[in-house]
Amino acid sequence: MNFIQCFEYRGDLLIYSLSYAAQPVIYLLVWLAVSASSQSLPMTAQEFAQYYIWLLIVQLWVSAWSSPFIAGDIRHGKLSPYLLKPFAYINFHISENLGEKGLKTLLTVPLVVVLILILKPSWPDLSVFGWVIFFWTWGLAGAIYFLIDMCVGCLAFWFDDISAIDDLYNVLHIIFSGILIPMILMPDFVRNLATFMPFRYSLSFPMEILLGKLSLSEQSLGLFLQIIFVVLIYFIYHKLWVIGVKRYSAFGN
Amino acid sequence: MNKYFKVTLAIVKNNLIREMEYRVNFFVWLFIQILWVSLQIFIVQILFQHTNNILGWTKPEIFLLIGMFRIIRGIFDFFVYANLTYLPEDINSGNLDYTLTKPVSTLYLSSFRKHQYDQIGTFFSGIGFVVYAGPTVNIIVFGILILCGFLAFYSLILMVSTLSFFLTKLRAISSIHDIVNTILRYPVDLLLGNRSGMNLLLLPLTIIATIPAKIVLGKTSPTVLVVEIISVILFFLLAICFWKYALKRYSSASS
Repeated sequence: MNFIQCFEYRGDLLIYSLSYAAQPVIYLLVWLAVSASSQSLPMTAQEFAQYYIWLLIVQLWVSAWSSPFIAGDIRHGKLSPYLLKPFAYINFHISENLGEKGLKTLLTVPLVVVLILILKPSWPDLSVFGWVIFFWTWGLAGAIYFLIDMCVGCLAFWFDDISAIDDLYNVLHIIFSGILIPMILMPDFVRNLATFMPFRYSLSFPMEILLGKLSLSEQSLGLFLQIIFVVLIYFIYHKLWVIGVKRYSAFGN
Repeated sequence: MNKYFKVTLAIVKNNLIREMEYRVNFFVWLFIQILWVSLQIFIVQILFQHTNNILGWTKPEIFLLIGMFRIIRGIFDFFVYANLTYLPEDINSGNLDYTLTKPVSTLYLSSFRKHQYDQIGTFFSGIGFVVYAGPTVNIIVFGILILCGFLAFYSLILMVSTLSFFLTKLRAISSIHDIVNTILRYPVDLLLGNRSGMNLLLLPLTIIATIPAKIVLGKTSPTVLVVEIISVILFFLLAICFWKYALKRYSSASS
C-alpha cells in the first residue's frame, strides 16, 4: 500500500531521493578534490569513490524519517485511529519506511551505475564471512536509526515542537555517523567518543567493515555494541510510547 | 511605491508580533544555528588537515565563500524561504485565491509575506566568516555581489516553486533548497574538478556564490563583475516570465 502511495508523489520521491544522494555525492567530489591536492591522506581516491558510492545505498536503507510525522499525528490528534487498530503503531511506520526505501532504491540505482562507470571503484575485498557480517551490521544499523527516530518522534508527547530536537540529532548524526567524513579521517577524540555513541553504529560501522578497515576483534566489539544499542533504544522507545500514550489526549473525531 | 512601503511595514509588524509569541523558540533555533556553524567550521578544518589548498582554494578563501553564501542564504531564508515552501500547498488548496485578490503584486505577497527571524543567525555568522577571511574589497562592490547572489538564489528557488503550478503534488521544495545549500558551501569549480565542461550547465548555481567570491578574492578579471550582473538580471527575468506564464494557467482548487 505504501509502495502505491509513494507512486502518487513521484516528483516528490525523485527529489527526496536526489536530496539523500546529494550529500554523499557532493562530499565524494570534495574529497576527490582534496586527494588530488594532498599526498598524505589515509584514504586513496579509489577508496573515497568506493566509500561514498556504497554509502549511497547503505545510507538509503538505514535512514528513517518518521519523527516529524509521528509528532504531527500526536499534535493534531491523528494518533487516535491508530490506537484503535489491531496492530502496533510502530508496525505502520516500519512498513511505510520499507515501502518508500524500495522505491527510492529504484531511483538511486541509475545514479550509482553512472558513478561506477565514471569513477570505476574497486569491489570491496571481503570474504564470504565478511559479507555476512556486513549485511548483519547493516540491518542492525537500520534498526538503531529507525528506533532513535521513533524515540525523537515520541518526544512530541511532551513537547509542542520537536523540530529543534530533530535538528540537534541531525548535527550529532552528521559528526558521528561518517555520512560526510569517513571515521578514519576524524580526529582521535571524535573517534573515541563515537565508539560509545549509537550514531557510529547506525551507519559508519557497516561502512568501516565494507572498507576492511576493522580487525576481527573490533568487528566483534562493534557487533556486540550494536546489539546492546538496539535493545537499549527499543527499551527507551517502549517506555516513551507507553508513558506518552497514557498522557495523550485528543479532541474531536 | 508608497503602497508597497506601507504593506511591507504592516508585514514586518505582524511578523514581529508573531515572533514575540514564540520567544523561547527563537533562542532555541539560534542555539541550533550556532551548532550548524560550528559543524561547518569543523568540516573545513578536517578537509584542510592534510593540505594547505584544495585545487587552488585556501582555507580562508573557502571561509570567505561560506561567509558570502551564508549572508545570501540568511537574507533569503529570513524574507523568502518560508513563503516559497508553502506555495505548492497554497496552489493545491486554492489558498492562492486570497493572494490573487489582494491589491498588490501576487509575486510580492507570495514571496515576502512571512519572515523567519531566527535566520538572523545565518546572516550574522556569514558576516563573521567574511570578517575572519579579511578580504580587501570595496564595500559597494561587495554589496552588489551579495544582492546579485540573493537575486540568483531567489530566482532559482522561485522557478522550482513555480513548477508546482504544473506538478500538483510537489511537496519537496525544502529538499531542493537543502541540495542547493549543500552544493553552494563549496566552490562549484572545486566540485567539478577537471570536468569544466559542466560549468555552463551549473551556471545558475555558480552565479549565486562561487563567482561573487572569486571576484572578491581577485581570482577572476574585474570584467567578470559585469558578466555576473548581466547573468543575474537575465536569470531573474527568466524566473519572472516563468512565474507569469504559470500564474496564467492557474485554476483555483477551491469552490
